Amino acid sequence: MKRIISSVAVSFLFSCIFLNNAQAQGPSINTDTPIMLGLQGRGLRTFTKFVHKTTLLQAGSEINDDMNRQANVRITPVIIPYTLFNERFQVGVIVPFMDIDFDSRTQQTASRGIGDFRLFTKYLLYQRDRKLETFRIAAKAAVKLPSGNENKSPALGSGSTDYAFSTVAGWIKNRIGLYLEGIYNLNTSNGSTNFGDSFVYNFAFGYRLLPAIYETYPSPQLNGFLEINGATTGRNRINGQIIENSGGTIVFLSPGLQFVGGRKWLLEASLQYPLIQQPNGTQLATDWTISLGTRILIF
Amino acid sequence: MKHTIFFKSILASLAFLLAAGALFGGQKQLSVRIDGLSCPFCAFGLEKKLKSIEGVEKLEIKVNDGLAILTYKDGAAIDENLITKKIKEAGFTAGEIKTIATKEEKMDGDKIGLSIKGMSCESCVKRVKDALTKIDCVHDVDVDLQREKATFVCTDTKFDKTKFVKAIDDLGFEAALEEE
Repeated sequence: MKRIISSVAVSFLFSCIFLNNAQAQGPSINTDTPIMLGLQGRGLRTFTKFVHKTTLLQAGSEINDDMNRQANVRITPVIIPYTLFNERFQVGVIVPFMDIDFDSRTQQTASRGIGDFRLFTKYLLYQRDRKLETFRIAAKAAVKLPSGNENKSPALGSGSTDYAFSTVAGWIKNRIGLYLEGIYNLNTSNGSTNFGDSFVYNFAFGYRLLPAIYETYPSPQLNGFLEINGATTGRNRINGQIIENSGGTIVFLSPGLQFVGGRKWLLEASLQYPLIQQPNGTQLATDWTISLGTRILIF
Repeated sequence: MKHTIFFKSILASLAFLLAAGALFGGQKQLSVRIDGLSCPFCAFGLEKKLKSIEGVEKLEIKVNDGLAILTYKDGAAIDENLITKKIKEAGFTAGEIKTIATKEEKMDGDKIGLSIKGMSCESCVKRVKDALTKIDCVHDVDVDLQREKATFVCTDTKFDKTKFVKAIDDLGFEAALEEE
């Protein structure tokens, strides 16, 4: 019984957190890219994502929460990719550090520590280069390992080994970049809980704000991004029983800024504001997320 | 006395080496078109690969032109296949490789003048200069905003000069060849 209650709590609180984590690996700030060069290919990336959840939604509408539930989550993944074979093949690891506070009228809990590791590989399927233009498509696979403590409250990991398969396309010409990504997350059981599978869809529009004309490499540059980051998740099951208050759809509008300081580093920031939020049943919704991060060339 | 002979020998050797350099040396510059060079922060690997080529003394990556300019040390051997290979290894596609004329070589050729109407600012001057510089044979471009004029040297005496006019007209200006 205790196990079931714990699993419900994990499901209730973390469905969105794990989705957000899956979205955030790419150089356009929240969308991945098929371009595995420079800072995108051999750079250590880290950021802290602040997730604020206070609004209780029932069938997509806000309702009064007598319990005054509130969750504040800070996820700091460290992402280390390494690119091989003429920059066409990439392997990497993501180590997330989690810091979670959950408050309500009757309960105050907090957990800190390492979350679930993720190993990923990416392969460039298609490349068409022209003058000042490139179009590339890559396929990606990832496995999430149950390294985070699932028994803590709130849990730091899902306790299951999960898989993700994705395709990402990117087109850059002069100052403009467009990226499109689709990810299918295949989630397995941790013994009692089977988290619902999810489909994540990301679109990013990037524009080099400064300089208007990029003369000679390296020069500082400022990029602006406008992204749409969405996810639709199936309901969780505990011992085969469907959990009504789990899964749903969330779509964020995510403006962001990125400053590339030179050859070896950049700083970036992104705000995510939910455009569509339709969780199944009654769930605590995400009010906003903010990501602040950096990438540093190490190889 | 022994010291004097020794220093004289050193000086004579240095003089010989300098003379030989002047006679047989001379830096070579290559311009390499790099397709796919659209994200400047991707260029680190490209820079690293091209700099690793033996004999390359200086490298300039001109993102806006999609070009890498390689300056070789005096007398260094140039292997175009190696350049192409390095660019591929860096994740880009190599295009045309051209030798850039030295200053002495640039002096040979036709001096051409264009009158250009419609330029109103320094940005227009830059666009005109860039458009002319991109033409294979063109060197030493000078654009005068006030006099509404561009002058340059074309090393290919058989080059169709109406192409200069078209390159400028395509920018939205009105160009005409000046009488020689």
